[in-house]
Amino acid sequence: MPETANNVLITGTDPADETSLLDILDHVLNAGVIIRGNLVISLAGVDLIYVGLDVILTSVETAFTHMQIEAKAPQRLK
Amino acid sequence: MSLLVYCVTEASAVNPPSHCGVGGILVESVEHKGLRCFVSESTSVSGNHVREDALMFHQVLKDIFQLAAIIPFRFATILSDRPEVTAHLTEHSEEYASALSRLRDLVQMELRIQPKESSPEASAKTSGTEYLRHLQARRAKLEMVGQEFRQVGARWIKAWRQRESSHGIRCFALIDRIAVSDFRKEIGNMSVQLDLTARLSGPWPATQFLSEE
Repeated sequence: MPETANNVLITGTDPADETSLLDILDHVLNAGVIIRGNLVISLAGVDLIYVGLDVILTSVETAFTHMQIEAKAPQRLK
Repeated sequence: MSLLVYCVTEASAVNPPSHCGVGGILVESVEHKGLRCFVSESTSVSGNHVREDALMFHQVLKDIFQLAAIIPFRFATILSDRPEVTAHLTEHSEEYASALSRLRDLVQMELRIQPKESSPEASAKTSGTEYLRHLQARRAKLEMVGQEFRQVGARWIKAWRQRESSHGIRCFALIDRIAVSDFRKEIGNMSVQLDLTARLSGPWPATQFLSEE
């Protein structure tokens, strides 16, 4: 008999649960009080970027994109 | 030394901390005007550890949130020193105290409802007008589903906010801390049409309800 509906997926706030991970990162990066500030991103012990926080860490997608670039091209960034 | 700031609580609600925070550095607190702000000395956030640092930040928030209502800062908010933290608390003491008092025993549950990515309906549109009509119909459908969830959980919901996101809609329910289990159970008994997905997460700090609207 074919399914006619999808159940609601229930997740918590435990990072060990893979389905919660995206929600957690979304919340720590996108929910809460914003104070303008600056952040130094270091790669291989070298400070590379110094820009407004709200430019770097505005969304999970941005953070993931950042991490993917880093994972794919570590040699180029060194 | 600059400080990474985690969250603010009512000073009387939580004792001074003894956690390790981001980078394994001890979390301390700054108490001012009846508020307590949790901080740790900051190291530069490394591109290699953004995810790990964000998760450690979350763990500190989670530990404190288990004890009391919190107003979190976004990761990674850095203030220059303790006087700057105190100045921030002074500037926002009334709004923070008011929000923490109002939200003392409440938490936020979040429901994300979105169409399945591979929905054939979405990719079959041939004109701009047709595409816009499709979006309009999709929005109306998602909002209706959101309202169905709201009605089902109505007995626990103190406040409700619903907004569109790039992938669907996000619904935020403010409920009593002690009602989380019952709310999950009730919502977990619901289902959505096959072309939709729905995910309930939480409990979260009530960041969507910091201001009264």
